[in-house]
Amino acid sequence: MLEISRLGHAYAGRHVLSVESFSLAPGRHALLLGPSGSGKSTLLNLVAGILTAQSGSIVVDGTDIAQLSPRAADAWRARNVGLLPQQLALVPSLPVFENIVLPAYAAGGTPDLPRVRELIGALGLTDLARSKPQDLSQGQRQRVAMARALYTRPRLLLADEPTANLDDDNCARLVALLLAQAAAAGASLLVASHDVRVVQALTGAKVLRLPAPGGYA
Amino acid sequence: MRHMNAWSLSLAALAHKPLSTVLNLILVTMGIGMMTFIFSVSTQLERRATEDAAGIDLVVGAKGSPFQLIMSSVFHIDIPTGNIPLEAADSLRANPLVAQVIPLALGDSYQGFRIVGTDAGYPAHFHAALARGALFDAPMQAVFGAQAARETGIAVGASFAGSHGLTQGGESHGHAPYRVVGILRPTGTVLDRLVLTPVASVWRVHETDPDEAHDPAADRHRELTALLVKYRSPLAAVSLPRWVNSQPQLQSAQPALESARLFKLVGVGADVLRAIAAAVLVIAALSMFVALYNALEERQADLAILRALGAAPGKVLRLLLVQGCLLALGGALFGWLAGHGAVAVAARWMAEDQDFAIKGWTLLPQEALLPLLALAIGCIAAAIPAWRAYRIDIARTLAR
Repeated sequence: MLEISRLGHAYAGRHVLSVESFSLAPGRHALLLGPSGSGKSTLLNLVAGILTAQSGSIVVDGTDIAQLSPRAADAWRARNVGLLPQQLALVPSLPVFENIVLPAYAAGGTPDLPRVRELIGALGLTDLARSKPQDLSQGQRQRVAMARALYTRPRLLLADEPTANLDDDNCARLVALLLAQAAAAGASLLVASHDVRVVQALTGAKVLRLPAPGGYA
Repeated sequence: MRHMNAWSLSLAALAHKPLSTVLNLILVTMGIGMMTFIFSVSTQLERRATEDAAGIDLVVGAKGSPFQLIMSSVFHIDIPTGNIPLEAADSLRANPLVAQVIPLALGDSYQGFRIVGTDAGYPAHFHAALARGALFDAPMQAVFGAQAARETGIAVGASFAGSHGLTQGGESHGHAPYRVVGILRPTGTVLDRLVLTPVASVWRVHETDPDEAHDPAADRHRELTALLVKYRSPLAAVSLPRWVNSQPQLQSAQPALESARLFKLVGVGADVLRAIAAAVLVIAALSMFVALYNALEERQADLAILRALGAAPGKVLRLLLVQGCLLALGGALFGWLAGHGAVAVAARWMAEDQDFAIKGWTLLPQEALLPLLALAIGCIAAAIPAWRAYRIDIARTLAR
């Protein structure tokens, strides 16, 4: 479902990322490994169509993301990608329920309320639906962000350092939830992490190792 | 808020920062409120004065200040400049350039409402219609204007004594009571707060003995306060004022000219207030700009996630503009209400002084521009934050 070939990207002329070839079969998960600055976040942004690749191709289910116009990439992302950013970016003025339904506003659709309730139940947020993000713990916030990412039943679920601020218990729960929810939504996980706990938990995931900056692929 | 849109999201964002929101609302409310107040009062006063003076080409009265002559005999605010001989009315009537002469004899009042000795031409000039009773046809009969009747609570058939002077508290003329024969419908002019009676009543009240036999020879020494003159031909404007002013006891004044002078005086004050209101609105716009700009710094991540979730840049831009406009429109609504409330308070206060009557909730078509003004302020204040939101770097913001 995901085919990357001869992908290259540079910020201000500085080479940050190159991936010669990588592919992922439907239903399989991928783990992006590499030290800070190796371009893990950049690769996730390229796959999401937030950044436009300078060379090469990223084909998801037959669509080459690198060839989409910015506007088309926005629309494509709204339909196909769930994002779990490193900074969770919950909207502080909105309660949990509205934060989860935010993709419906962003993409301009009618809110699918049963879907929101389903996710709230599945992620153990039932009692927190009317709470504001600032009243939640880090683990709870993480689950809200996950529900928001899963709302559209995306084909791809991209997570950037999802366990960065979690203790071992919460880390294990989060990875389990990610796997369960990805399976329930039929989504492929693409997780960028340098957390050993994630590497150990995501056994069976296809690994893409990115070299340290200045190194060679 | 199950169905989200730019308005509900903006409302939530505003409610999330109550202190800043309330502060900005107050600033816009003050600016728009002052604008509304000044505009409403000055327009109503001007309209009212124009109606009071409409159709009267020239006022003839005793020598003195022409401004005072107009104020006293057209608007019934100031005291008269003095009296003029009765013959002046006759010689003006005899002038072929003159279409109509309406005599006015002032001096007394009833509960603060001026008693005006005149003839049937005066109510006819204002197209006044009777609500009850009939017009006067003999001395000591009185017809009340609508407001004068309402506020004194007087009814047709009742008797009353005028008091000397144009304000309350003068010596009472108990020896010569008036009888109310009619009450006029509201005309929206100065007529509403006058008590009309034949000129002869005013003379009779001021004769030492009201029961003395009426001596026609005495009429020649009787006086009037002013004459309202309507021209037959525009040519009269050239020669008539000059002729009047050459008479030893007379002066002429043109209502249009003196009203313009009044508005110039009032206008300076209104302009100062208008400038202050404009300054407050500029401050409001700046304050909203600062608030939205600071909020944008804090909201970078929410706006970036909206973009990351697939919202087009225009949608994020619109969100910020809507937030600015919502604040400004809210302030405009409160300001408009506060402005009219202030006019209503001022109207009550002015009514006690018997000056121009204004109404708090008179709506003028130009007020429809206020929401547009507010929208402009909101958009200007939100323009730069909105543009920055439009250009937001999603990848960098979400990685921060």
